[in-house]
Amino acid sequence: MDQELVNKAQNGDSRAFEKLVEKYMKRIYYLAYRMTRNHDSADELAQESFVKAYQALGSFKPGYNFYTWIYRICVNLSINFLKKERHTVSADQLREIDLLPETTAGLDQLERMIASEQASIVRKALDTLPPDQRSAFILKTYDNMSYDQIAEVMECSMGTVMSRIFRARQKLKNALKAAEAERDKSDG
Amino acid sequence: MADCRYKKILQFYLDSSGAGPHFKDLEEHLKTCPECQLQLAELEELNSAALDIIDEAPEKEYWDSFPVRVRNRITARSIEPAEIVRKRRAPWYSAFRMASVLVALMFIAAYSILVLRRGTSTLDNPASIADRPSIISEQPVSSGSPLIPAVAAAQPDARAVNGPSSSVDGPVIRPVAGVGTDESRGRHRRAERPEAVPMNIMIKDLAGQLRGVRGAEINGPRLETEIRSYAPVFTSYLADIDPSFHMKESFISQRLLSGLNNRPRNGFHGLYQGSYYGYGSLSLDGSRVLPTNETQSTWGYTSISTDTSKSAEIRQYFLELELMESK
Repeated sequence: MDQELVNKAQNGDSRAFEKLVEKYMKRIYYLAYRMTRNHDSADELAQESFVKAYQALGSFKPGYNFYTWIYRICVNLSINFLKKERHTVSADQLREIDLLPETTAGLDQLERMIASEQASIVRKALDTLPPDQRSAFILKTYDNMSYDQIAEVMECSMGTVMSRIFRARQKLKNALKAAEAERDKSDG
Repeated sequence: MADCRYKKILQFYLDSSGAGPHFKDLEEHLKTCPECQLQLAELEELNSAALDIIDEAPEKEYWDSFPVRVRNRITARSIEPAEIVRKRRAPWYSAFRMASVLVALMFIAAYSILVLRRGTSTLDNPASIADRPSIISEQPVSSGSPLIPAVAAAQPDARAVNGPSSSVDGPVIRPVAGVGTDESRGRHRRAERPEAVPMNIMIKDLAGQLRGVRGAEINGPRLETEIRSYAPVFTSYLADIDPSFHMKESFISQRLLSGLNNRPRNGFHGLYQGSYYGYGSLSLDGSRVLPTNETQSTWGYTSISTDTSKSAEIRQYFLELELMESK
């Protein structure tokens, strides 16, 4: 399906490319958003990803996977963006979560608060991870990609992916533990 | 049980949702190991917390206008896919290429004719040989060289043929014995090799990334120095795996040296994670913890004769941890 659309786009069918944009825009936007935590940056990066993909359509060979290809473009752009801008997340961007997920709807108030707090801690800690580790963790956790797919997207070995995810989790776990210790300290 | 050897593979277990027969050992272990139960619970809690993060969803209008905005951006920059550009260029581009090839061929042909004609005129006129500087006299000559008798026997006397030559009378450049032989080429290669082996290469050697071949080549005192300088990194790596684990750097150096010097390099196909390092031995697909009797441990790596399809990735995984730690 994707290959067919790519073939058409390569032959100048702009509508075919638009269909690809429509199909992947949300995933690409959210990937960029999770990397930058900023709507404007995510919007810019998502649009740029598709523009670059269009520009490079000629290098897209049969047998490639458009899905991983467009992800790769977006991940690279996001990593470059973070490195270039030395992007630090401002306090304003670290807004507290104002909504709770449906999955916690049935929990009592205390559990909801804890879940919300934990999510907030993880989000903040996620923003402090190095771009490589952050993108690997995001692709695994939110896009549910396999190690192989992430390796393809990030153009590295599967071992590298595994270690990046491992490192990211270690740091996030430590952040959760530290916050928990802090809470216990203030409680008691 | 802080040094539980299964701890390291809990991530694989979680990511594969515990599916597959390879995790049978781990699941059995989980029933009795509170440390691993806690680790797994923490990982699950982390995943759950990460998924609980609410991403701000843009309005519907944003999505509706997204493709249009991408299109506008493409139009504004007059971007065309490379494939279309190539097709459009094709007729004149191929003509240009063909013309370039023709010009190149003509140039080569003209040059060849010129060279042939010069060569022929030299052969036709022996006097011109004497006028030109001697080719033989330009060769470095050494009376002490064992090659000289053979050269002298094979060639007419240069002075007799060419007369006195400034090259022959001038300072004699001594030849390198056996120039052009395999032996000399090997020596040149060795001479060109840089003095210091970069640390990352050394780490790769130690980690078995190059299957030990390079490690075996750079034996000797320098290797020992490199290994000793690498030991703190390794210690730090081990401490990261298990904070309760302590090993003297000197012991690590000794162990690594012993492994490099005494064990054959070929056949290190798997990763050893024996009890010294605080975690268990993974199967080569990374999904199964091997019992000790399936591994033959040495200084850091083990030879496992079964499936090696994923060994590089698994090795790389631990290598990356190591390299990150050293940065």
